[in-house]
Amino acid sequence: MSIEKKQQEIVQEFEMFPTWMEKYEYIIDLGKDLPCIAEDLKTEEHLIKGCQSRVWLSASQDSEGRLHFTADSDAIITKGIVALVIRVFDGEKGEDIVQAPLDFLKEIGLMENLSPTRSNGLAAMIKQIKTYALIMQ
Amino acid sequence: MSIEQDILDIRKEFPLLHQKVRGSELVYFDNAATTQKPDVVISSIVEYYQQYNSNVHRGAHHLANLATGRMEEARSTIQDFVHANGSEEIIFTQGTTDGINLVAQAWGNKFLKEGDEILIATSEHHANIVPWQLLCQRTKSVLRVIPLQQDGAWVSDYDQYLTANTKLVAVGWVSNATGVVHPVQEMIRKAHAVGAKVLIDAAQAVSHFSIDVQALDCDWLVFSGHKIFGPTGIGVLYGKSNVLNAMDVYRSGGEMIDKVSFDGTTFNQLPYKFEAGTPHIEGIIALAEAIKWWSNLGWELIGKIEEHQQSAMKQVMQSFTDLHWIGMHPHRVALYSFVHHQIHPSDIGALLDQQGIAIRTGHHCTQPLWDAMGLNGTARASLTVYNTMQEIEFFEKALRKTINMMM
Repeated sequence: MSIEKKQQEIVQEFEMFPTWMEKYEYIIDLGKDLPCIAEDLKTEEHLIKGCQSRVWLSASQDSEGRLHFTADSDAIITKGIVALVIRVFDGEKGEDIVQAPLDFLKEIGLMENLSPTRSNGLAAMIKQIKTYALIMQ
Repeated sequence: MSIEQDILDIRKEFPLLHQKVRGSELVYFDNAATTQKPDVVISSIVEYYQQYNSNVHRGAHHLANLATGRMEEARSTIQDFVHANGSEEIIFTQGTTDGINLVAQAWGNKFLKEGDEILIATSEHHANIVPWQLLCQRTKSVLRVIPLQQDGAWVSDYDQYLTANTKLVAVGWVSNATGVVHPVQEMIRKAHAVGAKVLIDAAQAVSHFSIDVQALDCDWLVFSGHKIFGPTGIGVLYGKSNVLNAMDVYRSGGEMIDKVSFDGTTFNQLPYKFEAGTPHIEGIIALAEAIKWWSNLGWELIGKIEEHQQSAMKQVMQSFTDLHWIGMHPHRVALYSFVHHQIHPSDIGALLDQQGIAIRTGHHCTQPLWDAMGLNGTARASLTVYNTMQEIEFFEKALRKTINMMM
């Protein structure tokens, strides 16, 4: 499934929840379901700067050149949002990730619903994913 | 009349509070960060710009005289409010942080030398840490930190930190992180006994207690206007006149000079010596309005409301067995910092926000305190006179819903 298709899918999922409390409930569930990152990857090197909560992000590349991400956070909402972003980018090629716009965050209204510190953190995380993608092209 | 009715009457004067946030009635529990403004404060700013905006002190016309008169009246209002000996002891600053920086530069640079010691407590706000750290770097003096007790209470062995080398004790009266009130009167007396000067950071105290700088006998006291229902960008530095007179100038430029020539400049007298440039005129006038408004409420009513809120919050705290409430020392203000052993404070803040409740989460600019307590920060609810019992009840329900959603 293309990056764009995956984003559309997420937008449709969020439309099923009429209130923000329900949307957050869904994000929290996603956060709970995202596998935790291996303890040895929870290092300073994988820590994303600019988040109020701690977010670790690590990337690897398979034999076909596709990228795979693992991430974790000590805040469950953050972890849920991270899970959404990873779902969009996981298994994609570096060049596709670099070029892809991340429209779904805006479309589901998440960017404007987040506090400024959290949306800054989210922006920092997306930047980090794109940096990995750039290096691993 | 019931306390709840008193609160509702006060609340009517705050236009901002009457709005919905994300579909729910706004519950503003972030008053330690900044307070909302009553109508009289807002209208004083509008009046200034509609009726007598002009530059102060130098003008030769009617409007300038009006503005100057109102600004100097404001200084007297604040002098009365903190019970200063003279109005020249009231210096207008940008806020608490600015006041501390002023003292660190204008007093510290001149009087501190290698080996001198500055004493602060673990719970200080970064604004009462960093200016002293930088001063220590400049002067090779030493910053010593008094560790607090586990509940955030002041230490019993304070005396042992005071030595002949102690030149300054700079402490927060009320901790913005824990809400605990520190025994400043005793701290000041003991510091003076070893010849140290004392600066009191009253940022969090100013909207909870009556301040009498002469009874306290502190050398400086600083606070911000926006934490006592006034505008942002304006604050007060009180200093004893002999102490202020002995200090160097801080910022330089207009108003703070006596005579300027290219051979040299002489400086104006107090308080203007420390007020370079065009002041925050409408901020000063509106701050005085805020203080008049606050004083008119009266300490008796303010005290009653806070007592009422504290007892309601005590029940809320007791109803959450899974939360750890920080700083549960008996002598405290209506400020509640808490953590859940499994939920990140930012998650609590985000879900309360979805329910229209404004609190603060994070380190609250007191990182060393959290390091000492082994925490990464907290969620903090802080109340003031316009917060109702109904809001406290709603907070309790919303917090329970939040925790249930996360677990």
